[in-house]
Amino acid sequence: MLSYLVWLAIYIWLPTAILWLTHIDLMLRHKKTLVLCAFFALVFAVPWDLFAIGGGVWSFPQENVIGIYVFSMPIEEYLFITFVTVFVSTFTLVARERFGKLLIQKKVKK
Amino acid sequence: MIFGQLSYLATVFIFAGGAFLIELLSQRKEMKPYARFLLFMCVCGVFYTIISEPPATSWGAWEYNPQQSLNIHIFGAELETYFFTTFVILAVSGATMVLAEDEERGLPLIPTIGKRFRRALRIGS
Repeated sequence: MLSYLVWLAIYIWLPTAILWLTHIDLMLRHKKTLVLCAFFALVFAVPWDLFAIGGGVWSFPQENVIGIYVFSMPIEEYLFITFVTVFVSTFTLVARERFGKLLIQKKVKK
Repeated sequence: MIFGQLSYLATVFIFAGGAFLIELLSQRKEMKPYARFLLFMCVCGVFYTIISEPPATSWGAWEYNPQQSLNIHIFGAELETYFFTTFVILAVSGATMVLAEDEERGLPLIPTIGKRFRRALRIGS
């Protein structure tokens, strides 16, 4: 019945929590970045999602969500948009810290 | 939806692709050094899609309308989902990299984003 929430817990919340716990200083140093990314994700993704749901591109079986809807979208989808963004941003910051020297082109001052 | 079987793909390109395009236009100078890094992030995203998407659809967390998608499955995920992942990663990781650098330099984030966006509009006009 709570398939979507279970999926979020295993594939998004758990890895995000692990990355946060192991890199808490890094996350706290970039909290504004994380918040802004999540905010802009909601701004872009909510209209997209509503458009796609309204057009029948994808849907969420009622028996697998809690049943709370905001603008005809299940609450889990808002959680998806927010926390997938936080997960991607978190992973980006960790990868930047660990592999940045290898993968980022140094800026050359002219 | 008017795009028929291309609907899922069309929404991905219009919305996620559009978001990344706006970001690229407004911050391309800042994002240029991160090209290789973003490619690395996209590869990670594709792997994560392979791991996470099949359980989502098989558990019924969400489902796609077969009449509005191409119905091409690769490692258990719709082809369009890989495009979705790629554009979302490009947009979110790109924004994270630029904002993180701004935050470390002590720049005010929202005014700086506004300035770059206005610069992009001037370039486009």
